[in-house]
Amino acid sequence: MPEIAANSARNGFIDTRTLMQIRSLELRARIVVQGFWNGIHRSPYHGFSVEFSEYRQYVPGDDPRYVDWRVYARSDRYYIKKFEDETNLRCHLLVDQSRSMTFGSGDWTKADYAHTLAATLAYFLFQQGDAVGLLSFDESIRDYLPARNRPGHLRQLMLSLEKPAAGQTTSIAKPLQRIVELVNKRGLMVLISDLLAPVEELEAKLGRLTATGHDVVVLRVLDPREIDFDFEDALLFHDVESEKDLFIDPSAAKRNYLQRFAEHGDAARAVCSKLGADYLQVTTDEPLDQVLANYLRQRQRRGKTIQRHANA
Amino acid sequence: MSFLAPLFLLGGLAIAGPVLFHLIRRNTREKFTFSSLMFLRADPPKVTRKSRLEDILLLLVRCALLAVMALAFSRPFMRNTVTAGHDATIGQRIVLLIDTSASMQRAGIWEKTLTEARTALADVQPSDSFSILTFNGQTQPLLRFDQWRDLPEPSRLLAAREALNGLQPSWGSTHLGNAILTAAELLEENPHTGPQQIIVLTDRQEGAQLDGLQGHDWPGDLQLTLKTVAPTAVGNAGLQLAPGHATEDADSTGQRVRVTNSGDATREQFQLAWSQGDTAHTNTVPVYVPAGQSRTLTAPRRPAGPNWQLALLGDSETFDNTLHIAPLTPEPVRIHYLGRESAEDTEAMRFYLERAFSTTRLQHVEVLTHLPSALEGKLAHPDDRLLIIGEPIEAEHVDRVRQFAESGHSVLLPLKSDAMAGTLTALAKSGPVPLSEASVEKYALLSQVDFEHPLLAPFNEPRFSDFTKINFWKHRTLDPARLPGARVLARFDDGDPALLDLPLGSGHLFVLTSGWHPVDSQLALASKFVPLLYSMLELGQTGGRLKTAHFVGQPVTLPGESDTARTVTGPGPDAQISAGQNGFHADQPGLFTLQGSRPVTFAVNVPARESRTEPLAPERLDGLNLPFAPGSVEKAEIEQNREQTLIDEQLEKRQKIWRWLIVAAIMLVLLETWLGGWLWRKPTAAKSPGEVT
Repeated sequence: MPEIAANSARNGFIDTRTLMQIRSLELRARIVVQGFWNGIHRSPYHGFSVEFSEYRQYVPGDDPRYVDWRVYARSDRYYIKKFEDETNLRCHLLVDQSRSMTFGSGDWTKADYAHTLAATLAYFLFQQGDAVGLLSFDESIRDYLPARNRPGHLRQLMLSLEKPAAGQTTSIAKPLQRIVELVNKRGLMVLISDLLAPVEELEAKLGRLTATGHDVVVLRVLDPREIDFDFEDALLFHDVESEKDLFIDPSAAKRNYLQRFAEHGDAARAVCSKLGADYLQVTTDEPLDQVLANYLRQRQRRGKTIQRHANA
Repeated sequence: MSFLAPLFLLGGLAIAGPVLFHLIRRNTREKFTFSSLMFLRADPPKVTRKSRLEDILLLLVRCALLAVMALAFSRPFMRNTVTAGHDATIGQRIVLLIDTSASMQRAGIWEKTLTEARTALADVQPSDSFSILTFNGQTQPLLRFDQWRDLPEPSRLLAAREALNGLQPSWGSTHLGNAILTAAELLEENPHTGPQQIIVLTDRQEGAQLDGLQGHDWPGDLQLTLKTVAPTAVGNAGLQLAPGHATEDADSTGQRVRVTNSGDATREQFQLAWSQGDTAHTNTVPVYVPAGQSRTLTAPRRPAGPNWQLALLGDSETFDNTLHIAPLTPEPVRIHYLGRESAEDTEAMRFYLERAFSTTRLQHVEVLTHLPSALEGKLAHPDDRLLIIGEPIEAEHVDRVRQFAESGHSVLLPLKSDAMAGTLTALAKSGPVPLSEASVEKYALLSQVDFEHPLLAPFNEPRFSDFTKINFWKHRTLDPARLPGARVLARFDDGDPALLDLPLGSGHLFVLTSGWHPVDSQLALASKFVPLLYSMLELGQTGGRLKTAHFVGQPVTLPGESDTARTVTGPGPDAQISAGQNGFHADQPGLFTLQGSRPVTFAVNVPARESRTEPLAPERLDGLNLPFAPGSVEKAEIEQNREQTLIDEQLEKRQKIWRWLIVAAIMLVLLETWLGGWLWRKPTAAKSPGEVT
């Protein structure tokens, strides 16, 4: 722990390699959150705070308790003052467990990273007193833990995250469909996946999620090699999901790959943007706390906050 | 090194495969597990831009393997080459063989031949022995070794040149095989330590005969040089008698002739005409013969008059364009019949006999009937062939008849009655031969016919051998044991002899135990009657018949008696045939006449093979395994064509180099496997742990 803290102090962020050497997922999450916590305290941003949301004209049937009398005094009209839900954020972590997540060019895989990321988020939110749920999926739903905030739940969640990724293919559509059915209370949906699936199904299902009022965050976890396609020798590429083999000469195929990959990424980003979901691409060599800080900064810049419902 | 199947060497191009594979670096053992192939497309492997070959050693082994396989499949073999060069101080023995066949008369050949001969002569060293032979159908010495040796050294070359000066091509055929063998034998006759050489100057035409060369055991130091002398113009058409029609009469039906055109000919249109001398042509017909083909056609009618010859016009090489055809004269044949019957008596044998023989193109048969008592002074004419005794003869004539038979003629004795017993007994001279009338129930048929006998041999075919349609109403019975030496040629179905042959000297006495007149049998009306009589005529022929078609260089067997000297006249000087000889050799084509009491004309033509003037196929020479001198044109030419010959296959089978190559290939496969495995393991161990394989 002191070593990690030292690393953290040196780089400003926690060294990912060192972090990933820690076996316990919960410990990893704690370390990240601690560093992040410090960062928050130093930062001008206040994170998820209690915020005024909007005024709405009173209609008969509204609870008169929320009438803003000061506005009434000023304008002689009844207004209802709405607040963000400050007490119970219901966050669901949707973690991709498909086999494509087992790829990793370094010492850890995308799945390791995604689990750490999910664990960190869970830990962080749990610390804040928010309810955290987990839905891990591949081509179907593997684990589902409803969003709760009670002792032992975090532990259960960590155990569930520690299960190895064993799914065959990435199918986002089915889990998203299922989460819509399962979670009827609006909340935060954090989708952690490599999104190596057709964008079309992502758009359809993500649309339903946003349509039901969920705040959706897409964290796309990618390996640096997937982005750079940094290969020199011609290789027989084996698709971990489809089990297909393809002989590829990187010198010839790299351009096309990068183009297609970028197009896919752009399309995913465009879909998220269109549906009002946050999209953040993360590579597995990025420090986790930096990722979280970036994300928060991005949210802040967009002037968006996590919707809080007074009483979800 | 030569190859039996050189096309397989193209398999060596497969070497490009490994080179390319090593260049494109498609090394499938490096398997990389990737998250998703959804952004990758199967592109065709491309050659590395660096042009860097990987695993050079493995590549070399693979290339060597393919090369060895290709080499093995092409079935290589080594040709034993005789090393040239000899000690110049030891003289050579050189035989110069000069082709003087008719085809050497073609334009431009003879001058070149003489030039070549003089060149060969100029190369002769003082220590060499030299001999010149000329050959066509026969091989004749022009300058012998002993003549050369006996001459003083300065005059040797001069004598040889003089001998060459008088040389002219003949009209004979080309027997190259005999000539080379004769030359080789000449060299072998005089054992010699130095090298021996045979130089053949020939046009090497397709029609040359190569008999006798196959399998000859050539001495090791013998070298054969075949110098081909080419004519100034290729192509030649020839005119020959069509086989099987050589004796047909040109005056009546027209002569069947064949016009051949060589494969390298440029002309196809010719004319066939009768000519007299060089200018007069008549009865011209056009002939179209494509190159390499022949046409058999009927020659135009022969004009009246002597000295006409059939000529082929339009061919540049004229040596074989004239065909001499002897006009046919029917051979006179006399048959004697002893009997008293009237010529018009249809119940008698004479009536049928005289009608059996008609005058044909070949024979003019005359049937002479005499009374049995009037035999005196007869049977002395050279045309007499057959005597038929229809009546008992007097005892004083028996000896004359026997003498006639013993001189090679045929005598037929039909036993038309028991009264003939005495004549039979007298002629057989073997004691009494009892004769009795056989009891025939309805009719008797011939059976047990001896087709082996020359008399009945012409019937020895299923379609002619049916004698069962001839009914014999009556016949006589005799005991063949009473006739020692007699051979029963046919029997009646009751077992009695029907036809017997009693050889008398070089002739025959045929005994028919019945007659052919209607009272005795249907024989005269049967289709077998006339051929049977002609068969007897043939057996009674003493001198043999002269063929009318002969070739230059082939011996002509002259007909007739040979106890006196005879003269043959022809286009050249008259030839004298001494007594006891009946062979004649014509040295040029033309019409020849055997002078005598009855002159016989026969034609001698240029051998048909001489018209085949295309160059001899090298395969034919190659198959003979001739001891060609190394570096000679023929050797190179033959080696080009060797792949197709049996010799090469045998050579290849004997050497079996391909087996060693296969062994080498197996070794290379093992090496490649080991090397491949070693190289496989090597980089795998050094692979980074992050790369999934």
